[in-house]
Amino acid sequence: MIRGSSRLGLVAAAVLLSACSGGGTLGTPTSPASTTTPTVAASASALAGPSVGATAAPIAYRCTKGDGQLNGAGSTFIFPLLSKMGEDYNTRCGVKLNYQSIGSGGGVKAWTENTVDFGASDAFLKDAEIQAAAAKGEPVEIPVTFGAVVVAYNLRGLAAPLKMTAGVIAGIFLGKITKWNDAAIATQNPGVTLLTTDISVVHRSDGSGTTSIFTTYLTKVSPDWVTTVGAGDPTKSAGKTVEWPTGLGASGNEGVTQGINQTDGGVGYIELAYALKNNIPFADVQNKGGAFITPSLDSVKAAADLPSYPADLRFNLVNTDSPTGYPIAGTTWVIVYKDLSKVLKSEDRAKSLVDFLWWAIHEGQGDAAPLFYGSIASGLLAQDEAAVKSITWAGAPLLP
Amino acid sequence: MTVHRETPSSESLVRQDLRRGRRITGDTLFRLACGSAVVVALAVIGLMVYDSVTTTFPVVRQFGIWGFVTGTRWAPSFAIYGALPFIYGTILTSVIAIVLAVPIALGIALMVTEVLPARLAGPVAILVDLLAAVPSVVWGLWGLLVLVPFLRPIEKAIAGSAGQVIPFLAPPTPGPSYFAAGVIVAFMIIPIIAAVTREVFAATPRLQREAVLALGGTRWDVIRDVVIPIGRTGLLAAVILGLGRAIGETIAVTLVIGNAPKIAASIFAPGFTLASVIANEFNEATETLHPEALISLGVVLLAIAVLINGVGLLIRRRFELAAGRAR
Repeated sequence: MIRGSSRLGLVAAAVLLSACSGGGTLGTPTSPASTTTPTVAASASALAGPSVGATAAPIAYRCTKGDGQLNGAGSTFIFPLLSKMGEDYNTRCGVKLNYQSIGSGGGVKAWTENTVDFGASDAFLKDAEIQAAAAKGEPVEIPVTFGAVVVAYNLRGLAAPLKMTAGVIAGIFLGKITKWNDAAIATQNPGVTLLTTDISVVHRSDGSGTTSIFTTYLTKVSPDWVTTVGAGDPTKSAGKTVEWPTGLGASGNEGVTQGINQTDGGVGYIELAYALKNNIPFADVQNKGGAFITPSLDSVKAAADLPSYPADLRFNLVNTDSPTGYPIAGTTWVIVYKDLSKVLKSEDRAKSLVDFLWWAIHEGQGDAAPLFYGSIASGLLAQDEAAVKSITWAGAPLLP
Repeated sequence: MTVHRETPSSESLVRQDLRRGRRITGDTLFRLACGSAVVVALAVIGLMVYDSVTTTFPVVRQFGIWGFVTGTRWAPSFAIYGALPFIYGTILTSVIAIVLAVPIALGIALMVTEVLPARLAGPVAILVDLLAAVPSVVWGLWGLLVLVPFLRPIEKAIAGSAGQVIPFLAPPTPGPSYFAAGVIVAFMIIPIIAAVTREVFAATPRLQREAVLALGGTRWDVIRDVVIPIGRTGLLAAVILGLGRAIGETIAVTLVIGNAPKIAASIFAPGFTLASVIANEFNEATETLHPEALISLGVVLLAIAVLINGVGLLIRRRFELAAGRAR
């Protein structure tokens, strides 16, 4: 519902923007097959939203219009952010972004089948998925935003957030801790009066990147979780759908939130962005270093700020080593082919795509924080830039 | 009878026209247009069935038809797929819905056709029909936000008393459940059943009603001895129509059933239906055989729908035969 209303808002904003730019130099931003390149100055004046990079060195943005549109599909998590980015980029460059939020798995499938210009996924590509796409070329995976999953609950009369250890979270979602006044919870929360209320677990019933991040975390921190849910196989105890030992299934963040809110003693996992937007109470979670971390954009950023990143940018953020990092954090990648000459019909369209990606990892990041998304950490930006620059048209780089 | 005699004569007029060649083009075009509409509809159904059935082959190879249909475990991460929890959930919620909806729909239809004066009957009928226009997702959200919290204390009370003896009503009562789904679906099929039944009752011959009244019968006698016996077949058709809608209902059910792929004896336990698991999992079905298994569930749903309609047709024919013999 939130998603729906924010979408309406965007539509309204788009109407306003197009009304404003009607007589300007922008012309019709959505006209197809136009190859004109509007001047950056003209479009920047109409740019809505905050802009980043005031402190950074000036970055040159090219604006190849290509076909006037770019198509993407995948992660539902990144949809509100990509919608806002799409609006801003359309205002700037007159290139319309069509993004279908069909889920990460669907996004990877659409990218593999080359029905979209880019896919977006909350999980990096599995080796099998890379092989499946090998006929069309190598992938470039670009982390563009970060999120976190929080353990939300419905307990009356709590002044401060509950503190939870990895063991407690696993115990709750395994159905082994069944009362809120269980000793395992109480010892971490001295001074908090916990009632004998039954714990009632709510999990996602639809395949979801949120589930993937949460179960990857549980798989990393709890051998018990791997034994019970995955029968000892960690690839089976983590993923978009797992075999839940307990609880109700609900569809989407909205469904899980309703499930939690309606039951005294309800508990479930939802996206941080959704919880922040809707003021849902959630737990502080103990990280690897032993500190109890409140989920927030800052603690997610700390978790995402790794000392070094693998060259292919396929990394996992859960159970971070960072002392101030929140342990249940995840990344969303935009996935494109390295050599676009095999998959896109014109070099102009390829340039248009690369220009958008370049903008998205720089100025586009300004859209992240207001929508409660984590932006790209400074240590990662150089590698993200290198990744975008590695995209070619038959071997020739598309960005200078 | 006079009407019947007129028909051939007007037909022969048309034939005369045809012989003169005046309407051939129009008729041919009309026939072509209708024909192609039928072909398109049949082709779509045919392709759908063909495509779905061929997609089930890998699943059938792996588990066998019987193994798939009676399998009780649904674990995509282990590539184990059994359809029984969903078949059970679909049938149980539909039965609950029918049991709740039929008496209410019958009451509405009788009220509108037999009891209310015409100036009230019209608006009431329109209001009930309007219920059918409420989108499924609205029912579902209303169910989730209003009905489930409303039902929870009732479920708790029933489970705490009668549920102690009858496993069918046993606790716990988390809220979302087969029962909640059944109630929502009942609301959704009431207008369908009521509308069809109303038409059937309204078609009761006036002479027969008056005959009963003339013999000193009350309004209730009319309903019991004329309206219901004559409308039996139509009533059955209405129930089958409602059942057809009930087994395929997706979004509303998904929101209130609790989405747990388990088989529970209690109607207050969370469950899953064929249609709602497809809606839930198809988007992100990336595990081995997962999409194929979901499509197989669709085929099972189709088979159940065909079965219900077939049974409905059979019962109807028997009723008609019985009615014929009685006459």
